[in-house]
Amino acid sequence: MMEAAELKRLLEKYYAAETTLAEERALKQYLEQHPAQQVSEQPFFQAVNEFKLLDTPIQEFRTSSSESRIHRLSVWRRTLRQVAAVAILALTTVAISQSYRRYERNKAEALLQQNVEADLMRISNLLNQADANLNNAVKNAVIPGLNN
Amino acid sequence: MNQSLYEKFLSSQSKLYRFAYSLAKNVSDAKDIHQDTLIKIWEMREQWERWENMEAYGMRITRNTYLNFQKARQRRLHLELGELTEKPQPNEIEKHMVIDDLKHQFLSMIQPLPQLQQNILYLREVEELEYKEIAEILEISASQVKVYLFRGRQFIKTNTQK
Repeated sequence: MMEAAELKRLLEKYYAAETTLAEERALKQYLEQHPAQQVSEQPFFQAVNEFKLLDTPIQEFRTSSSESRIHRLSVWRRTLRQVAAVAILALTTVAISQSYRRYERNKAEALLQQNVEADLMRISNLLNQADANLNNAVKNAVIPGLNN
Repeated sequence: MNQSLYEKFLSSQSKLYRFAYSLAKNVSDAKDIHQDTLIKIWEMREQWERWENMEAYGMRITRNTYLNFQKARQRRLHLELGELTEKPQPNEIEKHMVIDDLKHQFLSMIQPLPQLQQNILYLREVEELEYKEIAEILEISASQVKVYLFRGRQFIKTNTQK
């Protein structure tokens, strides 16, 4: 327990603004724990401690400009905005479906073209084969006959 | 952004609000000052790493925001009373301030003191800051802080011993 003389000395030092933060904390803590000391400073230190408990109130952070913009919008303007939003949504849906249909059509056309090209290639190969057979026949049968 | 600095920013909010409240002495103005301060600090987040003491810097911004707030109020009042008086006196401005929360014993105890002494007493007694930190926040010298603290405490002594 702090002696009365020590308490007096600390209080004098405190009022002369000569105390360190550690001394001030010790002084306040001692007086808080020993309310029976009946020093006249008690109410002030109690008030300081009470004020330390003050905390930030929950508040909405909204800029004044956005607030005024919200208030300024009239009913018809809000309705107009809703109609515009619905129209944009509908147009976007139509554009997407058309684009999808065009993609499907292009895909089918590409497949068809690929099939046609494959068939043409097959015909060309057959023609080449027939040509080669004909050349062989001529070489084997006609040319030796002519030589004889 | 450095995570620990962001956490420091978040944790200093209560202190900044308390300081704003001790300056404005009413919830409504304190909220406005606090919000403006937080926005300013957030906008300067690129500089956080260069700040030695974020709390002290935040408190300085709080005080400057409060002073600007007061100047704006003074200008408004000047416009309102322009026809009657040339320039409103400080006590006249205080009459127009909403001091709705002097239920806080601490604020009512220091209320008769000049603003600077109130600020110093608040920063030393409530926030327990060193003279150097208080000097940095209030943009005065550490020896001035000590002198004003001495006067403020003498006032408290006289009034509590009555």
